[in-house]
Amino acid sequence: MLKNTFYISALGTILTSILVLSVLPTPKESLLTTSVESGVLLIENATVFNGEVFLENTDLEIVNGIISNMGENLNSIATRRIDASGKTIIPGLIDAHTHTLGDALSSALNFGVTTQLDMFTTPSILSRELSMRNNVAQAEQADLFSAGMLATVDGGHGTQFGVPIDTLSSPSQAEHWVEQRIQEGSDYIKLVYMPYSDYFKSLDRPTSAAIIQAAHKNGVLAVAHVSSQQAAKELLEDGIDGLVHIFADQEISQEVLDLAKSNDVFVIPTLSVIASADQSRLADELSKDLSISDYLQPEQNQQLASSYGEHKIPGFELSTALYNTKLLHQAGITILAGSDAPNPGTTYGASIHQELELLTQAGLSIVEAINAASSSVANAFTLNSINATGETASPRGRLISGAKADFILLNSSPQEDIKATRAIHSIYKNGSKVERTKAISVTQSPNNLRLHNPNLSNFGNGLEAARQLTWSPSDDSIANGSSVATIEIDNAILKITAIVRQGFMFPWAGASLFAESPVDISDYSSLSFKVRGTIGQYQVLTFSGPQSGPPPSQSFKVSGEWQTVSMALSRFRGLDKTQLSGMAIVAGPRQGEFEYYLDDVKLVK
Amino acid sequence: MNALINETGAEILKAIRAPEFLLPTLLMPCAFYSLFGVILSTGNNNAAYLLATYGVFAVMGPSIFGFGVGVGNERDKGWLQLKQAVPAPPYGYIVAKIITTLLFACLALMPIYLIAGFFGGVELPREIWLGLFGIHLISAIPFVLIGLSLGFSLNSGAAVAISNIVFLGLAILGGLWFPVYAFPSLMQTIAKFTPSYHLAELALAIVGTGGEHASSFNLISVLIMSLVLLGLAISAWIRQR
Repeated sequence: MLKNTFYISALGTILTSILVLSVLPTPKESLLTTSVESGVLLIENATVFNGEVFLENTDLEIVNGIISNMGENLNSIATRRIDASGKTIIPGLIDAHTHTLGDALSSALNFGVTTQLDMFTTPSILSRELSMRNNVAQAEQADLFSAGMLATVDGGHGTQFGVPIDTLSSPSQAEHWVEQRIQEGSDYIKLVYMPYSDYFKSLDRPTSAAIIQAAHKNGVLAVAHVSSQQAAKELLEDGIDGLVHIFADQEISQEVLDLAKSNDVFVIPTLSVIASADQSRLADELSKDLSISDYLQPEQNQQLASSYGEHKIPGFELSTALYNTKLLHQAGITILAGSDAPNPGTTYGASIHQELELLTQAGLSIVEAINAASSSVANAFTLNSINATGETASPRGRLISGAKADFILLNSSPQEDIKATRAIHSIYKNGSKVERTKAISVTQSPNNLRLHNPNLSNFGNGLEAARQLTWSPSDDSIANGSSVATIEIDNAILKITAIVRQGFMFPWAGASLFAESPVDISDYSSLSFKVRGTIGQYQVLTFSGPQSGPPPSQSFKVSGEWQTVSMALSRFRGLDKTQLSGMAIVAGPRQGEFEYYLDDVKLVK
Repeated sequence: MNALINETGAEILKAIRAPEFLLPTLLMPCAFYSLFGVILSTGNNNAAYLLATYGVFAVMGPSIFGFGVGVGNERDKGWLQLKQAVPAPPYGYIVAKIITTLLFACLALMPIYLIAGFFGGVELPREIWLGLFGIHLISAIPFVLIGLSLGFSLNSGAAVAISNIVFLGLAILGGLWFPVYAFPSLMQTIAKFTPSYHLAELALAIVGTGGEHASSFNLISVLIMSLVLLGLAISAWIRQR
């Protein structure tokens, strides 16, 4: 009896298991491109740029996310073959200067950036995102390398965004600080050194030198944000490994060139963001390029449209930046491509293609420019890839046997025109084809109510302004910030009490006017209102359509006396006037307590 | 041999006759996986990722409870003492339990595989399915040893309570419910000292979403932990005599 029980249950269980295991679904051939790649893929008859030369009629054989073989007329067992005749293959691009926010890594991959170097982000994202770079099965996002938190002083550049930063002020803190970053997962150390800035406090020279030393002691690179030649010179003397911006306050001196040369540093000029600070509006050209715009997401359009206010920022001459880059390049210093996305006028992925064009304007050959966004970055930062079993390290940034199968198929060769990198036929990440996300076709909704009444305030009668428009308090707590605002009507004017606190990238608190459904304000050309209150910096934020990141905004100053502020709507870069969902008149981003009064808010034709 | 088969048959019969103990350990992983892996899953790779970890979880239940609580219970009732007097091989008692555990582990795994394959959209080459099944079955080893150590050293009441804590602790810390990288760094460090973490990493490597360590490292860790646990189980066995 017991024997039978054993035989029946053992046999039953084993048979059930065999049955289940033999009916479980296995991947179909067509699904292979987007899921785990287990077969062999052969891409045939392409022109391949391997990092040095363009090889004609070349086949690439890919196994498990790695280029297993490469050459003319390969003998391959591959069952899946892709004919790439007429196409040029270049390595997946590496953007050497970005800040990781939101969909950064997937947006970057959408434009052929397969690896991104981050120069300051919230350290809490590191453990997840950094582990993804070793996953050879994924083709959904670019791989990330990151500095994590940056080294700056209380009140220094980097602290204005409201992200909590572990600041430091003396050389004795440097070693502990660097060790903490390495524990968090930072791949290299970034510091901000701008002692000659009028706007920001800065690390002093002994502290920055101690940070560089501590980084070297821990075997990692130290790179720096600078904005002046003098600061760059001091860092070079103290042993910095790389500059993550070119300074554009002065033309580069022979002394600094010699220093850079003898220290064998690299420079990431980030010309795209300097162009934006110089009000060159180059991003407009990029967002109109059809091979780019077809794939821009709404928030990317907005990032490209946004700007650093209305005026050129002193010390950010694009022509000087180009000149300095040119001289550094001629002196043999390694130049790397970085976009500094998502700063105003730049966006993930797309902007690196513009940076390549700017680098060729600074005198890099086309081959040198492509390398500046691939093999040169991998060399400078010694980026290695570790596969799932952790056994082999496969190089990035070049196309050779054993390298990571991250590459882009271009419709035409970039050998004549660097802009060819934008005309992407397809992108491969870890040997899998990337499903590119198309731009959402903007279906203009003409149904939006055209706003006929230009008066946006009627504080004598309450918080309801025109039809469907209501005033309410607004603060960054909706974005997990910790600012608070309250509003009340006091003698037929709106009184706002706002406390702006650190906690969100762009802290704000104040009053907002929101519509029940979007309204069309294309009939109007400017916004005007009367204001008085606590002296300080204030802003008007506008909200329209789908958006992420900072809303289009303009700033204004408030004094104790009533004054009328008038703003052109066209200066709200990225505002879609046909679908305004609301606007906010707020204190921030500087922290503090504010009390101010608003009246007579209206739109002007 | 005959005695062993009879012994195993008795174990199975006992389990079938006390379904209130067995059913939850079989059904809970299945229900959890359906909920977190399939119904609430958002990412397109989650179902496969969680299949690897919930499989380890499914095997843990019968292994820890079957032994921890089962052995504790039988010891309390003097059954273990009696066993030592009967003319049957002394290891038979343990081997019968191990075979029973493996059979129930299979029964716990199959519905999860079916849900993953037919509702979670998990498609794996046949050899990967088999490999996954293999690693899931191997997972039983360290957990059986944990169960034995508990059963030999605790009375039945304490065994129930402690088994539950160990069971949940290993499941959570080992990253069987949520990925380890979602934890604070202290918990991530602790995770590396649990067998469940390394078994999950091995299973993940098989489905192609390899973790942060080389598989050989995970394998060696599991081996060392199993040896330590074996020592623990033997010493607990000697002490209770």
